[in-house]
Amino acid sequence: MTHIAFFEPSWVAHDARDWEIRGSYKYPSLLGDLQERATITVLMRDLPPEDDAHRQRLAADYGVRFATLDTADDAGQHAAEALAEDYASAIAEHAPDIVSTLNGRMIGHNFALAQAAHRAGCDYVYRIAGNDIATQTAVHETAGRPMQGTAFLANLAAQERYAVEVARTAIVMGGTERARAAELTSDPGKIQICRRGVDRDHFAPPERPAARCEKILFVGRDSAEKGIDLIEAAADMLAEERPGIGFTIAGDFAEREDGNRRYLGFHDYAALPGLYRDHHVLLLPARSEGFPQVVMEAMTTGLPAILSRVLFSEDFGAEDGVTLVEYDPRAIADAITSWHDDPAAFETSRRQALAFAETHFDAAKNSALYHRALLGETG
Amino acid sequence: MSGALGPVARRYWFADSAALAAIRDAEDPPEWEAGDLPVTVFCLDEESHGALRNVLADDENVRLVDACEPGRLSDILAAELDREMARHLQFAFRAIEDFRPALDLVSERLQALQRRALCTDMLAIGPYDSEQSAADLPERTWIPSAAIRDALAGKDIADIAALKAAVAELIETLDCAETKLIAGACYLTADEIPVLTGAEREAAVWRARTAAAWSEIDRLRSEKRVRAGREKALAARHERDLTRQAERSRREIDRLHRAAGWRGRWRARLTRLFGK
Repeated sequence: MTHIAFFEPSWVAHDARDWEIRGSYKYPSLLGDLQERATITVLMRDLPPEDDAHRQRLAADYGVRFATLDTADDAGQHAAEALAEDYASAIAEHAPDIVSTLNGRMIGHNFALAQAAHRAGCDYVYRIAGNDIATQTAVHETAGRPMQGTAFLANLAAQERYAVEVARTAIVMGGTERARAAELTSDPGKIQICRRGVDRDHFAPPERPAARCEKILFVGRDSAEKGIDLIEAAADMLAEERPGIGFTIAGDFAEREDGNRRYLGFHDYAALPGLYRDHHVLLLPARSEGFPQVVMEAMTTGLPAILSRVLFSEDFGAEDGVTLVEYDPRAIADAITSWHDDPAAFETSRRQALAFAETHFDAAKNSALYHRALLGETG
Repeated sequence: MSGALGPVARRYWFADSAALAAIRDAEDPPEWEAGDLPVTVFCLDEESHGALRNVLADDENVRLVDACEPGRLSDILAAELDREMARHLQFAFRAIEDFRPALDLVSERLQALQRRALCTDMLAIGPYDSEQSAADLPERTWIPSAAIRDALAGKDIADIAALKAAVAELIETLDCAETKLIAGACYLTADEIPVLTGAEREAAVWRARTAAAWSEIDRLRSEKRVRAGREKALAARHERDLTRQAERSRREIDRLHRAAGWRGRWRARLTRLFGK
């Protein structure tokens, strides 16, 4: 049987939430019934305790064998060679046929894994979870570190090209990412779109959907690339223009209210459908994303979405229940207003979003695609 | 680059003082580990010849050729091409910083290509920034040696400008396999970049220096992590050694205990109670 090794972020004792998201939701949804066709090893620097419920479930129900990775786990520009050596040692010890990652990982990790896999002669599958260079640029520049034109950025670009070139298959989440990845390789045929998909029973739409668009929802991390500044600016504009409209900004925020904005903390997997059902529109004007899970979850729950044009123009057309906007608070406010002022148009978009989600975001369909890509099966 | 590239490819670097100045002036160049690609350096002036002789004299991968004498370039190049064993050549008119992992892949591709040319991507390093290069840098192309020999045969290459023109002309005619790999970065010389002055230059210098400082912070953080990792590994080994030592002692006591037997154990207890 084919042996696949996934090189994952370390378990961290003080970040229980990260492991909960991975262990309870992300890994099970990606692995599905993969154990029927492959033996699965998950490698981490530090493993969750043996009596951890998610670890036990992954081992018992998904056939995961956990193994410790002897590494400093440093993907920095000056540690790439050491990380590649650590990964190479693990590959020599466990002798997988295929190496990849389940969690989206930074370019440095993928570069090191690509190097190690290439040296060992095993298949490397690059799961590109988003534009890491754009994300790092947004995050670092917010922190005052210059990025454009720097050697640091040049190094990331060189590493990313190398990893894509070495990969047997590159998995991306959406059309925009496929178009970007196609520019990185001389063989765009190796790029496949495989989303994680959504359990449609769990994210069922409300029985009685809202007739009017009044409650706007953002779900995501409090990170520079997410466009929260744009949401807040649009909310400020609408505070006077449409006082009936409220914004919920949910993720890892300190809970508080500020005018027409309400900030919420973490919602676990069980609580997410309720959060979506309690709102009318998803707003995500992000500057860098792969194909966010929240878009799939929200649309499956019956929320039309307002998304950034730059990131989603290859994924959604005019009748898919999505309004695409520029990085401009006025454009975001206008998109919300047009649905708020025209309930019939809003209802049409809601139905379009549901139909699109049913066709494209079903977890079972996407899981089969992902497993075929991972195992290198064509057709 | 791996030693396997030795007979496969070689760089011909036409070095002059401007190329050395470009290296010296770069505030924030990529810090990539040097590869072992064989290089023949044609020193075009006394300054470059003297400086490179000092730096590279002991490097087995580098062959220095004195091409300072005006009008001799054509003969010197023809002589080098006559003795050339590498199947592909890269003509570099700028200093190059190699991205070694990609260069290793290039080497593998070249071995498979046989007589076709291969085109890679290169970045361009200026004094203050590193950017995607213009598409027409000759350094991007690995040219089959036979093609360059044919192209230059009988031509009088009077100077470096004539050579650049001949190489550019040849590259346009080559059947080139493409790869998007970034094989390295070229240091652009002063005459190839816009001149910045005043506040604009000041801002660019400080931006580059800030970027380099952040890069240094990255390096120090990685060093710290490696050191912490080593210390952790040492502590774990010490702990393991102590556990093993305790286990060995326990086993030895058990063994002695068993060897003494039932009678011996009782004799010891009675001795403790009543004396000998």
